[in-house]
Amino acid sequence: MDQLNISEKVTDRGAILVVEGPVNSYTFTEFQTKVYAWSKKTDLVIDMSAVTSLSSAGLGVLMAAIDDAADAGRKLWILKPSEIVRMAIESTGFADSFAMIGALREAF
Amino acid sequence: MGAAERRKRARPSALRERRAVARFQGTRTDFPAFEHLVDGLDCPDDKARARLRLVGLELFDNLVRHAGPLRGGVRMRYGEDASGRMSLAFSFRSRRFRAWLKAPGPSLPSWSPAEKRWRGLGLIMVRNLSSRVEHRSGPSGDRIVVTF
Repeated sequence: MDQLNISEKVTDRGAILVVEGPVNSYTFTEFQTKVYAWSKKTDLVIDMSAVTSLSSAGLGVLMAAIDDAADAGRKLWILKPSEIVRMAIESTGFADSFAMIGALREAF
Repeated sequence: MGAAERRKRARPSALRERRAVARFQGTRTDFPAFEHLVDGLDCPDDKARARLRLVGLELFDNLVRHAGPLRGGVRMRYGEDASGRMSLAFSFRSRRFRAWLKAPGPSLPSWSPAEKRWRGLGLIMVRNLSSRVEHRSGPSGDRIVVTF
């Protein structure tokens, strides 16, 4: 999959972003725009089960969104991270900052 | 079992050696092609492929941003020796990249107000997902070699 696809779903408890494809320097701007838009105003779940790669640019966006959410009294969860996403997150040494969950019921 | 099959089984380590070479222009538009190439490599397993994908893309991204424009493009070479150890090498020619490497910069992740995101995570990723990263430069150009 060459392109990044992000679909949005709003529930009464928060928003869910389903991200598919590669998050790299070529695609991360759309990822950044959508994640930042939601992380400041509601609890947010980002489904990353179909993400095929995650660059440091994408990780930098996720870390900033986690900070934004905390500042705004919101929560942000990473739902079912793909193996490559989990590997990227763990490689930074900041894995403890990410709330990774295996099912939506663990979030809202 | 035929004679050919017996010969293959007698030399299993030699059969695991892999090589691949590709050339890219060295622009952002190469990203999908680079990902396709990594996906098609005969890696030892899925975890190894994921490491190769993350490290390769991170380095390739740095080349595009800090070495370009690359007149001669970027030559990428993937290798896997008989023991299963993978290596990835990028060869190119860029004075700009050498200057960028020498320039002082934050050694730890830091917040970038201009880009509104954390920066400085890439090198940490590359170091933690590989065994060794080297940059060599000489009259024939620049070379980054990563061993896993």
